[in-house]
Amino acid sequence: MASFETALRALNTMKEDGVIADYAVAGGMAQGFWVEAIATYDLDVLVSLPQAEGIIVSLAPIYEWAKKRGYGMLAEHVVIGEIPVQFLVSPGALTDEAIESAATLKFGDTTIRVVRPEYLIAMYLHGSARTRQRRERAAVLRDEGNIDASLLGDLMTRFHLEF
Amino acid sequence: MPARPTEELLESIYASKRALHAAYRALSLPEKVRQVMELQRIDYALRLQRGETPEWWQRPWEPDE
Repeated sequence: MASFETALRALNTMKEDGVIADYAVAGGMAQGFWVEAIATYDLDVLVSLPQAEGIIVSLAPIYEWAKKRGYGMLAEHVVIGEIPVQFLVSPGALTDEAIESAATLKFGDTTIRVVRPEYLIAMYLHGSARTRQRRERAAVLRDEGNIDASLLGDLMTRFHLEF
Repeated sequence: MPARPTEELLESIYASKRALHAAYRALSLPEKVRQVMELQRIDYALRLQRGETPEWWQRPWEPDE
């Protein structure tokens, strides 16, 4: 299990080192934390970057940090403890909120920030992310994820979402 | 005419299924990660059986405990 925990520790270290401002695990792994585990091969991580001059957003600092620590890089993934980790810089207000409101959970001796199920649903239903597979995942979370209906309703309204 | 299950039997089967899924949802995070790795191993084996060459990222994660 240490390879997964190694990846989690690396995320926390990345935040402590100021490479990222904050993060939250998203995607299939986050889904599995709230409902049943599903087969997934990578760890999707939503990140916010520290304030910087200019408007060009780059993952270069993350890749440089990873390189210095000897982590491999393959197809835009950083390979930490043999786990491919994909970083997605928060593209808008919804994902900003998802990071800010992420739940802090314990995994072994490590804390982990995870996107809450209401935000996962909203992200699955938002814009180009709204594929059939993601709509199905959103429905599973809605039906079985013990969600806060009021929060979900608020997100659906504010971000103009529908199932 | 083939024998059919009664409504009670069907409901009992579905109730068992719901209970099983509820138990999976209630697993601890480490147990869920173990489950993910098990699903990866099953998926990997199926891909090999189909004659596919899995991508580098489709290898099951290695537990080292």
